[in-house]
Amino acid sequence: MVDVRLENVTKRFDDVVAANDVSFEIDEGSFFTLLGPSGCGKTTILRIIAGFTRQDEGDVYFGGEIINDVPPHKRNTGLVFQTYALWPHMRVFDNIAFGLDFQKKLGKEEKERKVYDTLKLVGLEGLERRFPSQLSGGQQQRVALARALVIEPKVLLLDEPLSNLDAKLRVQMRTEIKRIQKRLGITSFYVTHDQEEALSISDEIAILNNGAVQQIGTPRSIYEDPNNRFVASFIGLANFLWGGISEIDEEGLTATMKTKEGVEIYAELDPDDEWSNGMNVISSVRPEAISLYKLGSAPSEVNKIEGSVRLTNYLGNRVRYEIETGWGDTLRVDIYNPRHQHVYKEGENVLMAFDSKDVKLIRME
Amino acid sequence: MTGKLILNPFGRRGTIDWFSTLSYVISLFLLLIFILAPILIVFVGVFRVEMGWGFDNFYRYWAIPSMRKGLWNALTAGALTTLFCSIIGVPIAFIMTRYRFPAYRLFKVLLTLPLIMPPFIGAFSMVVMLGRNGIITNLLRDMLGFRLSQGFVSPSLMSVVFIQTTHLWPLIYLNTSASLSKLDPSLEESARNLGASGLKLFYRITLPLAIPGYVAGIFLTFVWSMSDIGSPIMLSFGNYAPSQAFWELVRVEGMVEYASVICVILTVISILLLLLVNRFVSLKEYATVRVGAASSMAIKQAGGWVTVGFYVLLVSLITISTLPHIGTFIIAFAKLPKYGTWILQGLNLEGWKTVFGRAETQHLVINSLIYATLAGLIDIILGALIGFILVRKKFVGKTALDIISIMPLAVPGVVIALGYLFLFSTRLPGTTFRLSSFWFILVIAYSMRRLPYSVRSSHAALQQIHISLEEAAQNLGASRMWTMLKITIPLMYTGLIAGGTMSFLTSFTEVSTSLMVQPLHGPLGVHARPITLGIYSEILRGAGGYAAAGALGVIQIVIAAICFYFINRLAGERGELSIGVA
Repeated sequence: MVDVRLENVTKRFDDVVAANDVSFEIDEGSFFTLLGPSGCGKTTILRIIAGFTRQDEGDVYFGGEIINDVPPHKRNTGLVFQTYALWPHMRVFDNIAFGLDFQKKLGKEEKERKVYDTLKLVGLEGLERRFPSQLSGGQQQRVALARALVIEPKVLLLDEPLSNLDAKLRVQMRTEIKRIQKRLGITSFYVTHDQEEALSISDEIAILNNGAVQQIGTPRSIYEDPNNRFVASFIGLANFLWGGISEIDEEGLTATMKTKEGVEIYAELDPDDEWSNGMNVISSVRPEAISLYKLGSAPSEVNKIEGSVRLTNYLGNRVRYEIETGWGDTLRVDIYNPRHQHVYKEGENVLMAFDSKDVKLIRME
Repeated sequence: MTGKLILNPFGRRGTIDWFSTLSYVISLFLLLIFILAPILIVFVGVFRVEMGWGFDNFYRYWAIPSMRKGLWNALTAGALTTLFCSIIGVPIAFIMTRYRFPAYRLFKVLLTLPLIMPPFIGAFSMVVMLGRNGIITNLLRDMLGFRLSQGFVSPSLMSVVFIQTTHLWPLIYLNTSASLSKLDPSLEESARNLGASGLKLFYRITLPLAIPGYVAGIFLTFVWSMSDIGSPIMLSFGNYAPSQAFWELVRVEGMVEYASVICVILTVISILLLLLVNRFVSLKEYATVRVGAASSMAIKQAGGWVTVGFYVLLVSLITISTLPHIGTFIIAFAKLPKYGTWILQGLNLEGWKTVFGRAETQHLVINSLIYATLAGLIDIILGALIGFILVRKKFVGKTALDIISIMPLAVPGVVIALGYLFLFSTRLPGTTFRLSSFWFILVIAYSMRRLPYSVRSSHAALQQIHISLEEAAQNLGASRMWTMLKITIPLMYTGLIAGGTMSFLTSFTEVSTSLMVQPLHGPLGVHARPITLGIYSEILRGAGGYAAAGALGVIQIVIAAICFYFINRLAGERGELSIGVA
């Protein structure tokens, strides 16, 4: 197992920049996810790591060694394809055993033992005589995973491996993948467009947009501290209010942002960043951070905005409201566990309230 | 197509390595010498006159009324045959893709019978069956008092058209049904959902969607008919352009220039037609031995009376279309009736004795088996390599490889034959050896003429193999060669073998180059003649040679039938099969 590092990797296809000065480091044994909308260049980066695509600029390191010119079959990565790419003319056993033929002379028994161990690991015992076409989608997925794992690769690469499964199976398989990855302690690089998948499975996430890395961090820091508008809106939902900083307190811990309509929003500041009066910023507030009150109540939260309910959307575990403010913006509000709460009707006027610590200030680029 | 050479060894689409570079260079070289050069030399030669260059050959050709007539006849026959084949082929395609009825599978097999009929002996059998003194002609006269002074087939244009139609209609039937059965049922269902039904549905949705296959069928039928040598020769119908070219070549005082002019005109017509057709359909797709999914269209069970109607239609069609087969067997096994009668005179195995007993004929079958097998093998290898390069690689001039490899489908066989005679009949420098006198030249000619089948079937097979299947192997440590050996080729296997078998089968019954390129040294000794040439010389010997010709024809039919069965079995593993080109 090794750590993987990309340094200033750039790849262009004609006019499209698929990877734009991409740098990141995957710690040995950790689960790293590249998350981004489709067409953002995720798969290109994965193929650069696997060696199927050569970057135009920049370097790829495995364990401190540059491997730019190492051909795919010498890189010792295990790639799980989105389409699984199981060979239809080979049985499950032969599909899995294929990669072992290129390892240092393995005895027949050794080889069989490895295949059966891996079959057991992915929970496919007894299916080794089947052809891929005789397996369900989930089973095929497991064979693809087993085939990549059996060669004990330095790095496990997974290219949207769950996107062809149905919702239930997807959740089940991602837990499974995480379990196996933890057990083997294998450095893993995972590509997906599904944010829930990324949040649930990863040690670290890199958000990619238009070929460029937007933010790298733990799932929690990505969700709670998005450092730009794209990240905030791509991971979960966010309400945005635009304005300028009108006041910063003496300790530099909270600021007041004033919108052009004159509404004041109080926000806690990230002390690691530099802030100054007059700076143009966006306030980002998650829907679940906002509480709703009847007009005229006096909530304890510092930020209060009046509005009128445009849409009430009952979703079982929560109610999603779309609320129009006096100046015409629409904010989304999630109220969880609605069982014992008042559900506001469309047209009702309400008071939205949220704390300054739930406001994330983002500097305008 | 940018045609840009990707110097970056890790290009997006395939990598350039020594193996594919070598394959590319070799296959392009072979195609240039053995396909493009022979065609070009005919074209160049035709403008060569005593004093430099000019159109003199064309003027002289055009000045001869019989030549003009021959060209006109070939074009007319092409048009009429295509028309009649459409009238038969399209409805049959529709019936066979949309309806099921008792004995459906049997009929499906029987409908492909014309394809296993070797065209040359087939035309001759038609004369024996339906000619002025034909067995059926006499039978109908005696039984029903039905008199035809010239017989049903005579040395006339309409008889050529008739024989071609009975042989070629499956081309349109199979190509149209390929299109029909590939249709996504939801296309028709959504039209139904919006209220379309019956004829309106057929004309507005079904028919337009079936056009690509139908147009490909039209093209193949027209070119085949226009460049047919066999039927006019067998009918002794003189004024037919391609057979005129043949006569000019083999006659002692023939004018090779006229043969060249005819070849050039036919080629130009067929290429113009190809360009026209290309507006509808990429012909490439239809030269494929298609190993596709079975029809998933809305299929109806035919009712009682409808079934009876289908049976009448199918049985009469199959009866007429299998007359050549029946005729060939009669000629091979029976004493032909006395003049003016139709009663067979008993068993006659003289033909078989001749074929296997006489030194001149013994080698025919073996020769053709050797030629066709080698041609099939060459096509499998070359087809796989070219298909691989076309689908997976980027090279400068790849388009040229693509176009040249498909050319033999549009260029009449007589042109290739003539080109080979021109190009390879000169002595190799410093020796007395001529390539055209060596038997292997026929193998090359066959393999090049049939190359489109295997190129296209490997092309199609490769396109179905997702590139990730190859990448997965490389990712696990397999080199490119190993990946090709263990993954790509096994997955292409069915397509390759089916394409190769098609090459073998059609080489075994090939006419134009078999008659015209006549090498002197055979693989097993002095005799190099292929089976079709043997049939021709037996028939030329007159009544005494008929039986032997029939026996040779039966051998061709049986081997063709075995190949067909084999291709069907291969395709059966994956679904239904149709053959684009016979």
